[in-house]
Amino acid sequence: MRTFGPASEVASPPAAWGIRRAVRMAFPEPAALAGDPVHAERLARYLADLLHPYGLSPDPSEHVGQSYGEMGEALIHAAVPAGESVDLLVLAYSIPDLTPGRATATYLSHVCPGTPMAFAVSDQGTASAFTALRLVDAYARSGGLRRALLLVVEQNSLPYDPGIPVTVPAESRGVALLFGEPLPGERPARVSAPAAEPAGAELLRNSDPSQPGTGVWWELAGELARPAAGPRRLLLADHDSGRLVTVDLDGEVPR
Amino acid sequence: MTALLAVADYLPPGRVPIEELAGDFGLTPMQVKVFRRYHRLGSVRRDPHGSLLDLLRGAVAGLDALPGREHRVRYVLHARTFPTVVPYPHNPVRELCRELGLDRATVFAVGHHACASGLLAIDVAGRLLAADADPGGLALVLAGEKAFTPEAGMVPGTSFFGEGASACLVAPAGDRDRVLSYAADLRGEFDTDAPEQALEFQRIYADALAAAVLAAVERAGLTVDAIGVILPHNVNSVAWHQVCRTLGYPRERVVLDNVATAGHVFCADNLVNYRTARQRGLLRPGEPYVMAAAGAGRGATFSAMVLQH
Repeated sequence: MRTFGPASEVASPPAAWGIRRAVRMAFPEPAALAGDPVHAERLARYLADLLHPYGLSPDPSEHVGQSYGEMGEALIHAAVPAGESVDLLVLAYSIPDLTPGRATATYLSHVCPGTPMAFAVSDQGTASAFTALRLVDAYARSGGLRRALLLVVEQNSLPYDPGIPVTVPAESRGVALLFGEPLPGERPARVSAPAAEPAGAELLRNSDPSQPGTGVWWELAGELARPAAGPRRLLLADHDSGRLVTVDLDGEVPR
Repeated sequence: MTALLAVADYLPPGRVPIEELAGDFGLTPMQVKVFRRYHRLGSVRRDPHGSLLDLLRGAVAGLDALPGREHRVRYVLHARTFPTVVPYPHNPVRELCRELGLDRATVFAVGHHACASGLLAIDVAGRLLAADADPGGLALVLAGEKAFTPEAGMVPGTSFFGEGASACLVAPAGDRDRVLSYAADLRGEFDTDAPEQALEFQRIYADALAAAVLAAVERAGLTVDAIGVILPHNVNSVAWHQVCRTLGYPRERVVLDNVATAGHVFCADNLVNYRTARQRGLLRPGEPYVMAAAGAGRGATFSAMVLQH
């Protein structure tokens, strides 16, 4: 059971709050669930009924895809250190997975140490992860968190032609960012949301437009994993929403 | 402290008796009779020619507090029972925002608590507004879905979904309907098709929902005696009677008016019932009340929120 008091205490996040660990993973194989005939039958009905009002129909040749439950579980195991627990898990995605009716974040709470409060943010294109990051900060300010886990995921299958322009990711990928106060010896990366572009920041670009959901977060996880080379300020920008995020690195984030 | 500035709802006029749904869900006449006599379900709302956009538009149309404040709306959240309700990347909520001139808002869906996602969305909206430290900021929280597939038409052995929607303007501060606390118990162990877990879910349902109510009440620094009314989810009446027995709370103070006539309106139930409570004069100034819901399907979430009118 997770309880929350009033959302009125607009305090700063805990003093040294930041990204303690960053993990990025690719998932080249379809989900184990994709081979389950019971699941396939259920998905076929769900999709047919979902598409029918739009004059669309499922692509009969496309029944693979990934499960954000399976991807998220792997990311949790890689990102959460043994013996530590998580208080908040936010799952951010844009393209649905092969379980479009499933409360995946609730499942991930069950498999994540600490049985965190967990929910999902979606339907915002590439900005979903920016909003999820904002929520991690908002709950850190007033929700009494010790650790939070942000999972940004996208998968490479859309089993229908939606009839409007869409970018289906080339690869199923996920990024996990573990936030919290540092343990001795750690120097977390500080995250902030400036109103205007700060001077001296390095713009972190998504170098791979075929990965619209995870691209810039994938790059960030890569930067965080590199050996420290002195203080750096990275700038992440979402052009659709105008959101800016800076990440200050002045030390190594352990993996 | 988060406050609800205005609440509206929309229930389409079409009513379908549950007997007419029996064929869609393969129910026997005896099963339907149990739903009607034991669970106190009667009919559900349906809008056969309308879309999700129509439902949401209907709810927002009742928000008299929105016109003139569009420029203050920073966030628009759609609370989802089912995570995917339209083909990707179609987005009726964005269409609605364009119609309403909410072009400054960050628009997204929030959920994965099934039918308890409506309470989650109110808490999320309040946290975002508080973190922004902008006293003029507002969030529009929408709920409501189409019963577009059998999975979104019926909760097996428990309830039928009804179509409808709610809309709520959330403010970072205010003097009425202030959010005092929120509790959520996420039970991902029920994310399974195993029959024994389905039985276990039925066994713990009333106790778990009562525990969420108690947790929220205690977090608000109150006792159940202080709670004027409970605004439930409309799953059925008998489930709430069991919760009341566990809580020692009078069942006549749970607003179950819409169970028999509207059905379980996805995440919108609590606010649909808020409107009913207002119309019946059940919310008294200064008195705390509870909104509570259980979300079930793949996984389960039991949630409660204490507000002060």
